[in-house]
Amino acid sequence: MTSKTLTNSEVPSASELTLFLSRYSARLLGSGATCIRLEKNIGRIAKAFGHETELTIMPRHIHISVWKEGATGIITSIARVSHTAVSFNTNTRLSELSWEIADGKISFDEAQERFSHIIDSDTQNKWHVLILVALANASFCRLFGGDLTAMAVVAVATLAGYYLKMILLGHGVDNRVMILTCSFVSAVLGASDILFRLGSTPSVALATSVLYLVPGIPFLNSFSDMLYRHYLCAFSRFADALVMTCCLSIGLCAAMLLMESGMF
Amino acid sequence: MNTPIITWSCVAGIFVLFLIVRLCHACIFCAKGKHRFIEFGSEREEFFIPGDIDPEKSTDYDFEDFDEL
Amino acid sequence: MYNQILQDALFAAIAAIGFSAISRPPRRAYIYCALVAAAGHSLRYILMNFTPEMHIIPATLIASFVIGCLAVMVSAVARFPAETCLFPALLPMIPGIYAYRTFGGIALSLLSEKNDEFTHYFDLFAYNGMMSAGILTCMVTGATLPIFIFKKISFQATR
Repeated sequence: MTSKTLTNSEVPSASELTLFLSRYSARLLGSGATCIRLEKNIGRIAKAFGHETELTIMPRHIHISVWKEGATGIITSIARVSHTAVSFNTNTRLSELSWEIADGKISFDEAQERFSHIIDSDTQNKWHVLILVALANASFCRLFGGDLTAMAVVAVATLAGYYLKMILLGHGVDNRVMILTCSFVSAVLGASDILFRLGSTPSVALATSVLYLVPGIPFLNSFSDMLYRHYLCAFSRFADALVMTCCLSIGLCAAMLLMESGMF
Repeated sequence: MNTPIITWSCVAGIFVLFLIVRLCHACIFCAKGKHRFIEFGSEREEFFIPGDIDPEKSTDYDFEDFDEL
Repeated sequence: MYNQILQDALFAAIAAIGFSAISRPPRRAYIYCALVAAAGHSLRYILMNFTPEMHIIPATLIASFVIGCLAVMVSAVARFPAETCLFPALLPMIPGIYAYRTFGGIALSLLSEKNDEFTHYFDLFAYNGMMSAGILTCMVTGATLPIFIFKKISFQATR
């Protein structure tokens, strides 16, 4: 480990550090990190600058207290968790940033610059994602025993549903309304197999057409938080995932009823 | 009543209509010349480095490169 | 037999690449996600079809535990958090058909007019619901336990 000793000019004041840490934590939690990762990263950064921290992670806010080792004054800040899409790229790069700070490779000013750069440069080609998701859902259909016709129907239903998702999210439509609408559209299109008697596995096509909307990361994160006894966060993430799953199911059930699909 | 076929036709029809409308919008946008597929870029656009002064926004009329030499 | 296993691994890998794209992983993560998913899903396939034809719930638990261990190992090599690999690799094991039948059961039992019909659909709803819940719980437990066990590796991966 190559760490260097920080000079007085390089050590940020407690208020500067608190502001940086609250922005950092709001972004990290918003991009889908678990509570334990947040705690470790924040503690690591604060320690590198000779400060101590204590965190309270609430479902939508992070309460962060910072104080200098040996000093009596404590600075507290409350940050609202960023409302962004899950991004493991941001998650990885912010974790790397915390290690670079801890290992003394970059100064506080450089860390702030790097943080802004990480946030600004997190872009992704949405058309690539659209095609990849359609292919993935078609493969999914195959894994569940669907034939080639079912795969093609699922790919089209996913393309339509995911495209609608992109547009609705772009217009700032509520997440739950978006999931309900997309699952309904995908399920109706996924039922083409049943309607036109196209292949031999129509129910597989209908069942797999909405799986791209499953909120897997909130479910996984909620369990991880539970293991580390962050019960409040775990419960909140679980409830969030459950609401999204319910919206998905309502859309699917409505489509199934309207399409009069034989379920069993 | 043939509910499934009506539902399917409505959903598929609205979606296709929606796609066509968006495509038309995109075509009109391109036709107006707001988004050219191929164009000659200025030197600044090709070799921009963050921190460079934007000549259009700059209010410093007296600035000349050789001042810094 | 080998053909079936390879086919299962291939489709699981394609599904993993596609679904990992939703959660914006670092570019280097795609290939690892595909490999971990292929290994995990084909292991479950083998356990369920060849060895003493294990039930889907324990097979899922074993496969997801292996996925979790592989994700932790891969995260140390490729330097990204282990969670990046977990979700796309686990997604092909989601009990989609069971969940679909669960909701179908709810809808049909709500709409049923006779008692026998209601009991039949409620029975189907209960069975499929319990299977989905069991598979999901095993999947999540099996996959997150390795991160908890190999704490040091998983939290120093991005160093």
